[in-house]
Amino acid sequence: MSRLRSWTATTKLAAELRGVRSTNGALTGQLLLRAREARTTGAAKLATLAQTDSQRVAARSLLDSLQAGIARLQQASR
Amino acid sequence: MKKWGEVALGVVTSMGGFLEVGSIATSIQAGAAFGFQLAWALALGTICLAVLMEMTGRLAAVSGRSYADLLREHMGVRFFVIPLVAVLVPSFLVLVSEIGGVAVGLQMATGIAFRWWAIPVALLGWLLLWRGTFKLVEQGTALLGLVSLVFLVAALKLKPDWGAVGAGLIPSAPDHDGASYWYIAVSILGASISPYLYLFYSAGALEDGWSVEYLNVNRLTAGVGNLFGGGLALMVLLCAGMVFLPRGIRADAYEQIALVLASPLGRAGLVLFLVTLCITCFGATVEITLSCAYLLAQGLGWPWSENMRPARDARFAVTYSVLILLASLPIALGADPLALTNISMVISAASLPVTVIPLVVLMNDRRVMTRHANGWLSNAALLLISVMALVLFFAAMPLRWFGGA
Repeated sequence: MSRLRSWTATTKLAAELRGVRSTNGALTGQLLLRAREARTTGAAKLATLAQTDSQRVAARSLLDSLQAGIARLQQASR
Repeated sequence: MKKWGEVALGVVTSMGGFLEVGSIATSIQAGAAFGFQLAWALALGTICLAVLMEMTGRLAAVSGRSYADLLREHMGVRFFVIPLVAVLVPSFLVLVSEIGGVAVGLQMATGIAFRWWAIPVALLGWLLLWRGTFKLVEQGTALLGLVSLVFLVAALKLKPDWGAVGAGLIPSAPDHDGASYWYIAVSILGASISPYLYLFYSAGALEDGWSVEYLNVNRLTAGVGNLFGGGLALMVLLCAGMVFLPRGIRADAYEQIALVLASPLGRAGLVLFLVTLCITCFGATVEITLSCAYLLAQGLGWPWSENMRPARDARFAVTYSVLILLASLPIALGADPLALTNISMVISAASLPVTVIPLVVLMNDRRVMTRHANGWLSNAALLLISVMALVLFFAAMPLRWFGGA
């Protein structure tokens, strides 16, 4: 879960930096790739670890936040 | 006057050569996860390295022989195999990580996958070793490595709370993720006190023709150079503590680490980070390759010198040629450079006792050291480092298991 939170924060910072042209396209592309990997592995792990409804809701919320971050970074990279 | 010039150059070389993939990665991970709280591990590692460099430099200057050579003579060939393997294995892993560091830096700059850069980087390193002299290898890369001063600029711009930095210099227990905290502490110590650093320094003293007249140069170079180098690594930790920790970013990948300077310094920060990563890792690549070749050649009694033409010390030249090319293969095959860096730092920390403990014997042998043998203060420091090395030996692997995930 901490990994998902970390990648959500990373996509947010990377999108801000890309927005003001502080990073290059190559790095942004690699960050997107890594963030997607983190989401895929995170989703698989949370699916097996989340036992209760509240845990499932928390996991879903984390995955959605990361997905939103990925979308934001993707938009900034255009 | 010439000697003061050498001191200045030595200090700059130690400072420029201090940062490499291990110290950058571990300092950033420490800052990102625990803020300034692990600054003490950096300070401790720096002091230990300065002490070990001063001693191995003094050993070389007084005896005119290398540590490996004396170790084999005093302890016998059978014993020598233990430190030989214990240093070569982690040094080789660190070498792979350094090549990975350059390759990842180039990937982030160009978008071309890091695995394609591994062999060209190794070939460039090999060419420098084959054609260059010791001075070029040591001072050239270290002077270029001064670009890493950008971390000082960034840290000052971020305006750290110096009171909190001071508090971080005093060891304290973490209030969360204990295993991870101690694992990163061990990794920082492994990165700071890598055996290749003081073995390379000692061999360098012989390459530069040091004698007893150079003992003050040695003391100042080891002390002041490492103080500045360690200070620079502290700046890396401060930057990560101010950029990543408040946002909750844990540095799991080099791509995240690269953002550390882009945030305070903009595009120039990113460019300078990539240049720093590539230059410092490339410098460390050639130094570790040489250090391993020195150890093997000195221990087995082969002719060796980076200043000789390869035809005159063929076995030495073949050793570094094979090593650097072999080390590029795992990266060319796609091994994860950051995961390799983390594991190599821990193994490096675990290997310390076999090189540190025999130093106690050699530094107290008056047939070798004459009146320059260790005094009580040096022995107390070496004893403390030996105890710490033993603790690291037993703690490193369990911490890797529990705290490295």
